[in-house]
Amino acid sequence: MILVPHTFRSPWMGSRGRVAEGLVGNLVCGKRERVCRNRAGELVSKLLHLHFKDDKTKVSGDALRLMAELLKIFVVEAAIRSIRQAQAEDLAQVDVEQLEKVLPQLLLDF
Amino acid sequence: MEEEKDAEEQQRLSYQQRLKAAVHYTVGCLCEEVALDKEMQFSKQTIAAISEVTFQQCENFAKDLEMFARHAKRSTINTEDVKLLARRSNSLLKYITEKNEDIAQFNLERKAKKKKKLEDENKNSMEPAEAGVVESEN
Repeated sequence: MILVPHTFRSPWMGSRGRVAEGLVGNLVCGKRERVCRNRAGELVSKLLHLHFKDDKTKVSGDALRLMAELLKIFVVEAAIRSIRQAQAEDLAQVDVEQLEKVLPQLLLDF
Repeated sequence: MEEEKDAEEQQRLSYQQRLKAAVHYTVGCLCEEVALDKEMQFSKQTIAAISEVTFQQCENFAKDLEMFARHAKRSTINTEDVKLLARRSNSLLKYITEKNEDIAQFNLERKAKKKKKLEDENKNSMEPAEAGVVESEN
């Protein structure tokens, strides 16, 4: 399994109005190294809370950071495995077919 | 009553749409980094597909985490639950465990810094107070 060893963070943007941009978690652009750790998990937190059955369920700060990391790894693994598949098939662009081929193993690994 | 339910459902759906949009944006940024790094290109449909899969996986993760915490008779999800979630692949589990230790280390260092700062501030505020006491005694 390929694992991306480095983590990238980004400072937050966004007020409540611009939800799409503003909820970007700690996942963007590797060059911006400054960490806004307090806000890093807001998107992740909202995503998790959307699916909780019990309203009293909370997530600890450290668990939130770990989850953000896990989700980032998931996305990057999906991307890299699709790229490897496309490279094996000698293609210039990664299409949904390549993703479909790598998806079963990816889901089994997670 | 029916209208209220409909309105609520609408609100929930639109909230879900906004979250999906946020995920799509984040996934897009991440994929772009990877694409630049590997000098390959992603089609828009691929990015959309990855973001859809991520959103759905989040649902599974969230439900599992909640169940793990409830099984341990807790209402707060902690790092042990997340580690249990990552158990399927050995290298993933190892990576998550290392990240957890990094975070714990960072927290310790931050606490030590805060403590030191507090001690320094106390020292500074105590010295003039002591001088004041000495003068009043004289």
